[in-house]
Amino acid sequence: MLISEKVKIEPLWKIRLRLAIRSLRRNWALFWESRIGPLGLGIILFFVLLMIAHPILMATVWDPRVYDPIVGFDRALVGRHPAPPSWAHPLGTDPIGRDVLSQLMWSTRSEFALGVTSALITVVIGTLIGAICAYFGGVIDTIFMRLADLVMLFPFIALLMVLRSVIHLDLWRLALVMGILSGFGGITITLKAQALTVKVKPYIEAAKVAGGSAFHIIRHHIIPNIMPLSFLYMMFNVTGAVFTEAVLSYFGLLDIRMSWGIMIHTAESAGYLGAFGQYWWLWAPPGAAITLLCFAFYLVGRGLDTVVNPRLRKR
Amino acid sequence: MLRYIGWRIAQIFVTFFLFLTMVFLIFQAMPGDYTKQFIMNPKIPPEARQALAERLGLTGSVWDQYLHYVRNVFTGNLGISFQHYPREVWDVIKERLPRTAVLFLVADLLAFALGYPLGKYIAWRRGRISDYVVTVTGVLFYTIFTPLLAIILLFVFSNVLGWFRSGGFLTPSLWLRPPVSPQTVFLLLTATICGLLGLWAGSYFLTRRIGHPRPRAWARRGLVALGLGLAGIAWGYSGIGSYAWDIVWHMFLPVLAVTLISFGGTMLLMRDSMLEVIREDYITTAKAKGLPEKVIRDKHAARTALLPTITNFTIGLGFIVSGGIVTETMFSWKGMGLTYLEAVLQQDFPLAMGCLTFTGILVLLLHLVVDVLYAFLDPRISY
Amino acid sequence: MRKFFLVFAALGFVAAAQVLNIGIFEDLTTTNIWARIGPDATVWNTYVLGGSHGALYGSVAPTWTWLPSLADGFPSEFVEENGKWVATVKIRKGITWTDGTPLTADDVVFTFNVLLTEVGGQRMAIALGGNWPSYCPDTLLAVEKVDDYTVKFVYAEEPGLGEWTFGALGCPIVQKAYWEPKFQAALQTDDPAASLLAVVPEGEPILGGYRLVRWEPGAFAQVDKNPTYYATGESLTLYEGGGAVIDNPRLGYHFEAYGGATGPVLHELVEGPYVDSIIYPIYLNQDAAVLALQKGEIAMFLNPLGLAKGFEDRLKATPGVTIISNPPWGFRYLAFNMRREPMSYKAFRVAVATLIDREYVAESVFQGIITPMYSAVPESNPFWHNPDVKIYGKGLTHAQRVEEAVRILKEAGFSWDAEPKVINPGTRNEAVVGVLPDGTQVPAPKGFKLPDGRYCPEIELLAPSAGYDPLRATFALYIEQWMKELAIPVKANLTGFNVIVNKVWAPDGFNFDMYILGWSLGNPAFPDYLYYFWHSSQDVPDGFNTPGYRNPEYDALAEAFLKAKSVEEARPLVFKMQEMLAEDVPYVILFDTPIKEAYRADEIEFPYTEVLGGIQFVWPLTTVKALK
Repeated sequence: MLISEKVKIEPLWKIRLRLAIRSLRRNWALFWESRIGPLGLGIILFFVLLMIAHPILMATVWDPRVYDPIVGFDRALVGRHPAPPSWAHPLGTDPIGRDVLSQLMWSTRSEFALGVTSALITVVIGTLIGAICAYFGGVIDTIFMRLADLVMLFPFIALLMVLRSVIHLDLWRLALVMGILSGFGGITITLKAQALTVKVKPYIEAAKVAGGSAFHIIRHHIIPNIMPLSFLYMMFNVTGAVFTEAVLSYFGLLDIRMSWGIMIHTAESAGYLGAFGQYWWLWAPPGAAITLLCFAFYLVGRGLDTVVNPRLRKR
Repeated sequence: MLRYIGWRIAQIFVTFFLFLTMVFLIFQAMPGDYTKQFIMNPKIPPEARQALAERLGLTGSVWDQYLHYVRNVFTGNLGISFQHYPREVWDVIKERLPRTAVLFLVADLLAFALGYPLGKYIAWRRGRISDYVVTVTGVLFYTIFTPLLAIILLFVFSNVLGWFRSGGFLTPSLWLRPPVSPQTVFLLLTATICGLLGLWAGSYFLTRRIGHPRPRAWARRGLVALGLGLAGIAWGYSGIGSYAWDIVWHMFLPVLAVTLISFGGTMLLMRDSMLEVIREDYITTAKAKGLPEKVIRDKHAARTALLPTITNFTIGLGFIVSGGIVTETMFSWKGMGLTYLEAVLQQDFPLAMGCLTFTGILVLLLHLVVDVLYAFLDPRISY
Repeated sequence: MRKFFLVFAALGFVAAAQVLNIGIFEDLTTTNIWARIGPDATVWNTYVLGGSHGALYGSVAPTWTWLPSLADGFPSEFVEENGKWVATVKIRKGITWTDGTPLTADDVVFTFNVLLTEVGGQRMAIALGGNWPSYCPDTLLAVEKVDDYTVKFVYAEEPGLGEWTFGALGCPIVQKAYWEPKFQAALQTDDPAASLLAVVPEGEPILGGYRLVRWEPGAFAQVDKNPTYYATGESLTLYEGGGAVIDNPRLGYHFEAYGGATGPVLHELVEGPYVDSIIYPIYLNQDAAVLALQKGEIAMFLNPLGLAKGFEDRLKATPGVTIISNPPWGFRYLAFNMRREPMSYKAFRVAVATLIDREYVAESVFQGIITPMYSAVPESNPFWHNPDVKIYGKGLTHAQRVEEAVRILKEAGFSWDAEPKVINPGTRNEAVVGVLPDGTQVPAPKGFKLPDGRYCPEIELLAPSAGYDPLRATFALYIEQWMKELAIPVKANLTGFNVIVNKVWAPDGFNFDMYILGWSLGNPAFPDYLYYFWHSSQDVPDGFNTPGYRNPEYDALAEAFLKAKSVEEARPLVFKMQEMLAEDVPYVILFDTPIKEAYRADEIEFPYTEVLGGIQFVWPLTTVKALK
């Protein structure tokens, strides 16, 4: 019997696909095993649900005149705003009569957009550049490091003021600006430091000798080994982005109508922040939301520890 | 190595020059100028606003302003602030910089001193309960909304316990006729801290002769304690000790706030980079050799893992001169952060530029320090 | 500069050194009087340093009665002399500077000479900038000494209230002996104004109640009482009929004005100063100041914006703290750019004004924390306020407003592709789209057209962002919503204060459709903003007439107002101007918030607590007492 009759020749792409799916399943199993990874993912899914639920609620159960996060107002409770939680308002109302839960849910969308987008952009750029600089050194390294210096020192607020006067600075554009700026900045220096420790390891030398191209080495050896740090930076950056937006909104530098940061700021400027116990629904929900979301990203990053670094897997 | 340093310093000059140009262009691109805010006052006629614009040098051509500005910076003249006219920028910065630097330097050091050992600890104890507890605490403080934490601290320590005032960096009634200005006290405090740090670093060098690690560690601690004691005595006898103490007392709450918020970052960074190293072959070798856990952890794993953490910390030091807007606002600590923010918002270009210059030079230099440190920390890296 | 003569029935002087702690939110920026009235005219500098210098005349809170401070009696009438107009002012005898020398006409003449000196083609007053030009108007030609205690003012034409009463006569006076050498030195330099502003006034003799003894930048400032204060023990009695009696035993000075002691006494104020030192610690956020007040670390804090509701509630519950409320002297408003369509149509502006339901927003949305305002002169100023101006949409329900607005627009020729109709008015289901009771389907309104048939262009409504001012931001969103109900294509753009200012006052001409901002209005005794905001001469790039209101009738009234020789003459003019503004609505005056302030009644005592703008304007604090 000839071999060509017995063995089915599959097209290459099918083989690659099968391998990819298998690898995905294995990674998912590892991720699931870590237990905290899925916990983080679960929290993120919860927020996604919040985000999706809001327009549904607004279209069905909630009367827009009362529950609109920005211009809503509850006449029934006139004189008692900020009102404590009740059946009609599960998280109470804010000092100008708007439903807190509605604000929280509506803002989730912006926080995701802002936090996740800018963090993703930052981390992707930072990881790539860090790896490239560490591997190649020389002129490339010099250029990007000096660029990083310049970007780190960049007067961000001045830039915002300039941009704001020429374009409408909505969330996506802000996320883009923040993401790119952070991406080329300090993160590259730290990730490069980490990549350097990887680069000098013997197996890199071995891979070079074996004929691996620069692209191959960077993609398969260096980047996976700095990815845990990249994930950590995802958390740093999501937190950073959300906080930066909150502080900038506080100083009136942004044109965003509602966000978790603005919710806390409204509470603070109306003077309710200092009375923690009494008016807790004004700061606890947005504060907890910020902490939970950032925490969730950290957990996911931790869960990906073993996926990315095979040496950490139990043998 | 020396050649490398020389080459880097040349790069620093070029980068700094590019930086100046970039900032100048951004500020020129900002709409309006400093005199615009006086529009809102009907009492100030347009001729007066024009006179002000001329005096501040805002009416020349862009190129002229640029040349004027570059020439000034390279001759060390930071110009005159618009907002505080006719005070010089250097004068304003001289007032605000020391108190910003001391506060954030101490906070950064404490955050590192807390985060570094904790990071090592939880990396080593990966998966145990203590790992989770410490990690959660770190992340919690890292992501807590800063003004909230500040108000809680103020409420507990200032109102309920009454130990501190609710803001500011000194108690007015104690400073009615002081023999020395607060700026000087801050500068002396910075000197003290730097001296103690130098002593600590030097103690590694001085005690290297001692054979065994245990006594060596104690000798180091002894030296530092001696340094602390001497510093304390010097302050006590200097006649301005009580003034310094008043300022240090006011530093407690803001330093506590900043430390709590930032230690998590260092800790988690340290943990993650340690984990990279932990399964390395040379660690397995060390374990096989029978070395004690602590030695493996500290001498072998941590040193290499230090790289990203040290990078992060050192570059972060550069930003102590740019302060922190939220901390400064919540604790009424008027520092460089707020100075810079106000300068940008009001388009007080010389002052904003002055602030950025300080941060710029310091960060650029520290980046160089970091690069040099790499070679010392990981012998496999060379230039 | 106004000097408020504050009087309080003193119950004797307290022997021990008393110190008051009063919190402020921003640091001083200068101690130089030329800078403080000039380019560095911040409210914080005024709070702390406002008490050190005096002026010839001033308006006294809380009645805003115009009375002599350093002067003796009222000025003479103006007489024509060689083509110029001249009046004389007498100075009180016995006033001394802190260095012991007396205040004489030399000091007054010197002060004005500095302002009148020509430097680089313009007067020093203009070169110094800030508020100086208002104290040295263009028509003032010279100030001359007649004798040691008499001064002559020379004008090019007979001055009105703006140039005389509330102009030159309010100028702070500096000491010639101290400033002359410095002034001469400054004149030798390239930029005399800058040199004068750069002087650090060590040991400058003053004559006010409190003088600065310590300034620790970034931390606090301290003022001590001036033992040589000329008005110590002076009593000012204000009567209900408007009369005033000044009695100063120290100088042996007695003066009666406006009918003197007729009718019941409104206020009796006796000058101290009663407190030995006042320390102003700097707090950078309101929470810290509130905590400090609760602890007793400070007796009160000064905030030109007043207390926010949350702070008010917390402080209400704190024992020992008193909260007071006063009307503000300012307003927040919506402005139309009358140079563009459709804002150029009066019907359009009137329709928008009709739609704006201030009461709804004030009572329901903001629960009473804002006060609706209707006239260009706020109600809190009873002398100048006209209570009978036209208020569009007054008393109408939402549905009625919509109908009325539609009617006004249709009458002027505006039209729609689908006209707005109100369904189920007055009920919960009120809307502008849906089904009428008789079954007809009412489509959503759309296609708003100008009288000439073109579709209305997009309108941008600029307003401060929620972070900067949630009140104006929310108001803007409601206005946007109401206009959208009529299919008017408007978009609210909530953005930064600077962005709005730069758009409105764009270098080559006003570049906006509608915007919402606010004004604080200067001297309550003399609302000259009525000229600056709406006179056609101010409709120039960078001018104050942002709507571009050009009404010759109004112009004439405004000019006559500034030229009026007395407030009685000016009053009917001001009333008429308010009527015209309410009729033509270049601005829709919206609201302002009462100033709420808190202080510890167990530590500080005020002579009165009801005053326009709040007790923060009861400076220079020479009449408050410390109780601990």
